[in-house]
Amino acid sequence: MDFIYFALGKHSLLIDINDISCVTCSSYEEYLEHKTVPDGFIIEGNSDDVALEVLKKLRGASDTFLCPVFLCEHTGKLFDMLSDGKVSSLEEAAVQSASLFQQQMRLHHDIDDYTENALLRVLAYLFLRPKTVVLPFQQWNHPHLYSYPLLEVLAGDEQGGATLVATLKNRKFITATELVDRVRHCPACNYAHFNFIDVCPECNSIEIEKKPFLHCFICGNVAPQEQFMHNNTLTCPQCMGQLRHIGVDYDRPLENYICKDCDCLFQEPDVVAHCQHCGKRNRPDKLMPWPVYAYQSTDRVTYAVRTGEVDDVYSLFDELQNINPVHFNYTVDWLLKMCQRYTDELFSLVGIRVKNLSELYKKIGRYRLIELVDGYISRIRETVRVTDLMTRTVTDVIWILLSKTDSSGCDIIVSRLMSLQSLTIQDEGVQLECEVVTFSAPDNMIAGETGEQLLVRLEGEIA
Amino acid sequence: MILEILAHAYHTLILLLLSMFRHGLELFILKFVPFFIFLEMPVYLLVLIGILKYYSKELTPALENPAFLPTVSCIITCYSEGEDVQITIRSLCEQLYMGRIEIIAVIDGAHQNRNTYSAAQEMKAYFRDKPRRILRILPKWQRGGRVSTLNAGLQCATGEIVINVDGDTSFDNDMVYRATRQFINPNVVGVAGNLRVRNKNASMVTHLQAIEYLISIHATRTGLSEFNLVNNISGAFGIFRKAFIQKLGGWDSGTAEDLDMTLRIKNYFARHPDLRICFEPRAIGHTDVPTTFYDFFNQRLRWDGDLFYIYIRKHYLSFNPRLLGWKNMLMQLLVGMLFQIVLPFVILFYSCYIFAVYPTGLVLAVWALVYLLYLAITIIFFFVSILLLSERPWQDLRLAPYLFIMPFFTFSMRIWAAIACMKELFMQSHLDSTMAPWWVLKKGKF
Repeated sequence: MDFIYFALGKHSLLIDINDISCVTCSSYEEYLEHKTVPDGFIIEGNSDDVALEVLKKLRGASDTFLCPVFLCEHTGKLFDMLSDGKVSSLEEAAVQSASLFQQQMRLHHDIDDYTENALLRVLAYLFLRPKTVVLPFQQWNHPHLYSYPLLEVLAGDEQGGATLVATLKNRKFITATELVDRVRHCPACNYAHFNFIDVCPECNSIEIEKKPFLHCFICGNVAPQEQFMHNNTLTCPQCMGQLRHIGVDYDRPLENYICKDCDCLFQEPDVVAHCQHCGKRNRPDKLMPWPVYAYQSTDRVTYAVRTGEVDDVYSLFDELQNINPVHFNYTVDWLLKMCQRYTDELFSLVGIRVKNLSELYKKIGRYRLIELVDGYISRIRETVRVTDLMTRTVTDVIWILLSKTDSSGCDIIVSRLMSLQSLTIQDEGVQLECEVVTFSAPDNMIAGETGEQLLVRLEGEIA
Repeated sequence: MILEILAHAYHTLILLLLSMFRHGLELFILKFVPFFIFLEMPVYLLVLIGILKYYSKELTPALENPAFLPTVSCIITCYSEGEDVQITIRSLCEQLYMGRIEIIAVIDGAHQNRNTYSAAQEMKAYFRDKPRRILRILPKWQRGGRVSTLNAGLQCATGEIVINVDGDTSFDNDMVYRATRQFINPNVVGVAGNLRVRNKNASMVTHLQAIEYLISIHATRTGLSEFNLVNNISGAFGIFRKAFIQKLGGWDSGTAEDLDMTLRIKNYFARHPDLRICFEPRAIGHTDVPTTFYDFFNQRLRWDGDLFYIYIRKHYLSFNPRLLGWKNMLMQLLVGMLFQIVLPFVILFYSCYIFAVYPTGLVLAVWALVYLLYLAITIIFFFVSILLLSERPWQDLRLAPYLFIMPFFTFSMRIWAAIACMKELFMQSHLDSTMAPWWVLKKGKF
């Protein structure tokens, strides 16, 4: 076995061992001069920063990202995330590397794919280390407060952790295991750095002051407590009555704050979140909650790395210029409410589920399936209007929202869509098989049903 | 027949009153009320002199040290008060005192008294923005009685001064400031707080109790305090120097733990003549009293029985000048033993005797005379209290019409005290108190 031993200022490892060759380097640049990829690396050094830099470079390079990298003494969350752990001797490193090599034999071996495809690099890493948990790393100066260093380093995209996680999750390569935290993002710039300030609910001024107010029961006077205080007793400045017992002689009325700008009295100040990045002020309930999870790889990783195919066949339909499902749901909900309120409002909804996509993938292969789907998509695009909205849900149903279309108009569209299926017949005798569900408002409306409930109900019909 | 008796009584009364002028006042007094002259009168005079002494001191108040701000722990003994406990907690939180106040709500039997427990919990939010105010809630899941509640609170208390209060008592906002002023004197170990009746407008019996509290607590204790003779630090509102009562081992088991604590402190008076128990008339608490005669007499059955239990069963050895000092021992004998235990029996048996021996008309005439005498005493004390002591004179003045009923009320209380003592004597009623469960009380030594 060949090892590269990075002795970055410190040199404690015994490297003169039979059967294991070990070359010592004092920097990453020195290693590059060797122009060979060893079986593993060991890093030791005085400074955590230098060691981390080397570790990141190894994990980021397309030829070494999969190699076992061991540490001699560094500790810290980042080291745990990026390395294969600590070793105290070369033999130990050799033993631990052996199991990784066995797994590595099962990998897809087109090196160009790894160079080009960042996602494949991540998947290969996760495949070789199935117990790896992709952990979020808390960073006060990160725009989102959390990053996924392992994914970012492997993919060579320093700020792209969240996007990578979303992609991996959508394609079901990873699944959430534990909710670590929940942060909120600015709806304008997506940053998570806020200053929460209390402001006057009337004029939004931050010049507010908390002042306890008293209400004298004797004369009804309401004034700040400081005006009542006199020689360790409370005396009403208006009626000069002595206020002795809370609830009997006086009470605290609701107003507790005073705005120095507009003199408004109020009990609870408004709280606004001031984004430290874009400067926009938002109400806290308008911030976008973002759950931060730890993730574990799924079985799909195995298939993808052994074939080199990482695309989700269903994602082919994303070519439809879909809108976000959340927005789609919202629009359906809004249109339902419009239909309830205005009699002349109408719209239709078509749900399509392609039943045999996985089957086709196996029978005709990836490239022909892409062609098939591309053709189908371009025909769907021709069938619907520019003003119609489309989305694809996580459960792989394609929804088309036909605005200003009644049930008869909808039927025409559906018949066209159905006829498109026959154009996809292949030599093997297989074709895209779709199931369709339709809905027209106001004809098929159920009183009180929300957009989300409606979509769930319709989806059940083509499940 | 009845009219005849009343007419006879009226004529006799007129004759008796006229004899006062014919034969001289001294003879009249010596003839009819020697007991009053030799025993009660000195006490009344002592109290009046004490009040005047206090009043004259108040005219030229000494400089108080406003920087003396010790941490104060208020132990609230809660049981089944429910939401009323929130009034107590709130009134303690709203104190104007600039020092730190730690409020410890100890809920006895928190399992059964979930309402009280959750009512106390609800108050936590109220303390959020209150600097120097801390609320601790201490649920005692298993019921153990008042003494265990107080001792549990004492265990948690971090303050130099400990105030024990009832869950149905609330306070004026200068109470803590006033109470702590007494402790500037390092010899003061306990302060009795002043109690007023919170629900005095509820019924006639509450009005009468309001007068009773005004005279027997506000006026009497103010007077006695001037001579370091305070008879009791009420369980509903007592203030102590924590280090001292910790040395005493906290509150002792059994009922009437307040009188027991007072006597145990007083037991050091002979050996440490500088020690003081004061009464602070301006540290004011407002408490709920029974609203019906039935509840009132039930309460007094317990109180008077407990008095007998404490004086006769538990603390008979305390009546020793080497413990209490001569001054306090005489006072305790006179006010404690004689007035509260012996006198009720004397009144009871004497009343029966004269009814049996003398004509009814004469008896009624003598009683009418006694009534007039006690009415006069009550009126004097009432107005002295209002003029010299009361911080709410106009409010107290509204009680005046009830003064005419007070002598009857006091008389019935005395008779009832005799019955309570007999109950305690023969049935050991202190072992069956609502203040603690029986399985706790029966383990007591007395």
